[in-house]
Amino acid sequence: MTQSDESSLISLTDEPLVVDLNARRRRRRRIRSTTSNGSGDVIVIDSPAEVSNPVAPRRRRRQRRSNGDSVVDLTCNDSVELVDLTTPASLIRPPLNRTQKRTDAAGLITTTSAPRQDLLSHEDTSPILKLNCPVCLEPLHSVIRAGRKICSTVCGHIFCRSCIKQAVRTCKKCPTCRKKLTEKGFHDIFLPIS
Amino acid sequence: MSSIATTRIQRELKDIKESNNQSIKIELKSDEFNNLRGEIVGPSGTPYQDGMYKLSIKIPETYPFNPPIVSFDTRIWHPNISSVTGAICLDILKDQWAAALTLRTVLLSLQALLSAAEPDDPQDAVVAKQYKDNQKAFVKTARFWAQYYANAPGPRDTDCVEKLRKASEMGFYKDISLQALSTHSWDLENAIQYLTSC
Ligand SMILES: [Zn+2]
Ligand SMILES: [Zn+2]
Repeated sequence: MTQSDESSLISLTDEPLVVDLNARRRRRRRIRSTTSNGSGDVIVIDSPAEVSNPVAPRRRRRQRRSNGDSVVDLTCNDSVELVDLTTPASLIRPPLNRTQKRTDAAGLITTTSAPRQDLLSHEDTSPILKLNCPVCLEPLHSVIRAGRKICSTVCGHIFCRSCIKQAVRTCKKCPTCRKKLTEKGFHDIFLPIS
Repeated sequence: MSSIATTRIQRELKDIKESNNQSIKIELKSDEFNNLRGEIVGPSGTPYQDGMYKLSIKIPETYPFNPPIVSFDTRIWHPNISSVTGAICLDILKDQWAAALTLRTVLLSLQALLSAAEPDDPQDAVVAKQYKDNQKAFVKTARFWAQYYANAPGPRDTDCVEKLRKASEMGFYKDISLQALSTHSWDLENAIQYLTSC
């Protein structure tokens, strides 16, 4: 994996962001062995059985993307107007060193919260898992620790399974981007964590 | 109240506290999680600047899959908010709601609405018409209401103070006089005529 690959393994927004370097170093260690990433904006999350195969060639990834499984694209923020995905500020810092305000996609000033110490306490928690399920707001690492599943929708948005199930049943649309969803519109994801 | 709604409200209240944004506030009205009180500060550069606007927030059983029911308790002169009932016309509180939106994003959206009215999608037709036809009277009225109802600081417009005094001296309630004067863009004669006819 080259330097440029690493620079943007995980990009949650299209804006330039300053990423906590320590967190990235930790993440780099974790991710290198399990995912491959050429374009920098896609996280390929292999199921546990495939962990030993570190390289997913570009072509293969495209194929898989069209199948709509195993590829999780966290960059899709185009239609999300007011959702502030930066809330776990321990993961991403806004530009200009901890300036409290930033402008989100809708041009609204939002305030990012201070790093949440309670979530940082677990040394081994991958930065991805510090994100919350956008519906119940429970951190993904505690969802997993409780033995519950995490799901991705076909539009690439991530929730705990009970929430996306209920959302599809009651609203028939993605809670984040409002895309129409059916019962088949989401699936479990398997994060490469021990 | 469903458990998901309750735990979500609890987490939201915690997040808002931690976000340290002085211009928005949410608190429980009682022990019940379905009845909350919100407060936003009027954004600077608008007639609502530094006004304190209290909001009533009702959480439906099906939250967050259905939007919260929000209205202004503090009276406000704005095209997208009823000057009488405080009802709000805002898409994310209706068909554009998404479960990933939160009370915090709703309150920030309301602040944005105060900064940028949408007179073509009005809640209060009288205010929207004045906004379009007589911007000067609109700003004057909105500012006076912000001072009168929302405790916005600064010297009050003497013309407004004077006409409001005259109308209430004639025996009309102050709130009703203010509504009539505002509706008639501070034309005292028209406002009195309207007040005596109803
Ligand atoms: Zn959830
Ligand atoms: Zn989506």
